Amino acid sequence: MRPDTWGMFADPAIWRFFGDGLVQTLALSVVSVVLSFPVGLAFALGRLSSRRWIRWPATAYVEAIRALPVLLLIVYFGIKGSSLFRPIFGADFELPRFWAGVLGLSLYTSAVLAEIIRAGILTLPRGQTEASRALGLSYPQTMRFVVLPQALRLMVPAMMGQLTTVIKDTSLVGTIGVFDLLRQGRTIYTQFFNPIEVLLIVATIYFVICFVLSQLSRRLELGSVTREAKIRMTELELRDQAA
Amino acid sequence: MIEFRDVHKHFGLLHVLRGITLAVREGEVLVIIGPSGSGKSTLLRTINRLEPIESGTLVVDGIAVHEINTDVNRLRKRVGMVFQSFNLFPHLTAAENVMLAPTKVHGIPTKEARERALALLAKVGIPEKADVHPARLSGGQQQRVAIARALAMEPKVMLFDEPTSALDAEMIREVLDVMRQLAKEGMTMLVVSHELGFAREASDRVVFMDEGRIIEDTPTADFFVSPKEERARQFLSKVIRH
Repeated sequence: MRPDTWGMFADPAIWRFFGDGLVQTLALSVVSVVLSFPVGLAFALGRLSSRRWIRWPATAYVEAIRALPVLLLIVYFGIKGSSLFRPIFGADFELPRFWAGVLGLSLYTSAVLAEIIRAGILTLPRGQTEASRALGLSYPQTMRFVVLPQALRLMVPAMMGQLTTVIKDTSLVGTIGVFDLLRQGRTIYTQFFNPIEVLLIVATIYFVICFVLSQLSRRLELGSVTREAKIRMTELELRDQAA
Repeated sequence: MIEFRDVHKHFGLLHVLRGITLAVREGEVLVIIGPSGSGKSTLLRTINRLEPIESGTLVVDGIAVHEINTDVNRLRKRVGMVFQSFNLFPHLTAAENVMLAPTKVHGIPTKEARERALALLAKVGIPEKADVHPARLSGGQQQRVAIARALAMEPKVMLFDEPTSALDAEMIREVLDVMRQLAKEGMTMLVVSHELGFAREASDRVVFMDEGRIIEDTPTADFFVSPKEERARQFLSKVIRH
């Protein structure tokens, strides 16, 4: 690092350039997580279904997608995305790269969320479902009013963890030409020949966002779920992190 | 009201119910006792089909529980159940616990359901805890909320699965008082419990189970004076000693 390589950071234009990248990064993360949540929920419930013709495809989806690198999914949609949608949107449809990135990220994230949600549901004591069913509530009612309100609260920390993972994974969309934070950084350092300085700045921005999020999730009240369930959830998370 | 005819049930290789035949009339209070693993809880849980049976017939309030396509939710509306571990919904207040089924299953308006919930909580002796979450209630209070929750569906039968086993002496009394009151009001009750004091005072019949069979089914008065079966006699002497 030479002292003269830092001067450029005084230029507000550079920061605006970083800012544009940051906006892309955050937009990609938020859109991907928001899209993956309902999909993940559906597949979690599918995997827990007692009907084989629902459970098997759901299991196959989750296991297959989780076993693929995110980068592969992103590159696939970057290359093939447009032609995939042409039957629906017409012959000259071009999938914007941003959305190709969103698709790759969402597909992967939905499979991970499905597992987080499934773990959350399975962590609840069985007595909760039994008590609800014994009162005459149907299976969907039991899910909606008894199981999910508790399971989702249990899952907040794991889901926040997944959000930080997604934020970091968005850096992969640079490969298909989306100008996220890291990609913008690359553009800057190839012009100014100061990769170390630029990457230090980029790393700091990623760190600040993810650190704030993880602190936030730690403070979020888990809500009034049973202590036993909280403990089991923590164990599951530790196991996931170890794996 | 409830009629078991030659009911069998396995858990894997374990034959937990071996030819149960039992009839319960409306308004009767039965206490089911027996060593652990004798099938008492399973027997209770077949009545609202938390455990499906494999053979034999089981009719509850005119509903054929053994038939595959029986509407279980219709059955369960008429059968209230209280569990050993209370199983209150921790994310809801006491009143909300009581209101959930009436509002979601019967579609009773919230305001009306709340009034009824408050009345039921008063009945079980804890009107002041209506807006408290279960985590802040004692075990005895939680179990009383659970009883109120089951009563809210106006069941024809109440099942109690070791309702006081997780409680200490002080709280056992407050729960048993509520159950005694219910028995007095003519509720049909099946109680799996080792509370012989309760059995003696409040029940009409004592059913003794061992290894998946009903060994003895006697009017309460006779049971305590002279249990007919040797197994029951041994069990009774053990339970009473401590």
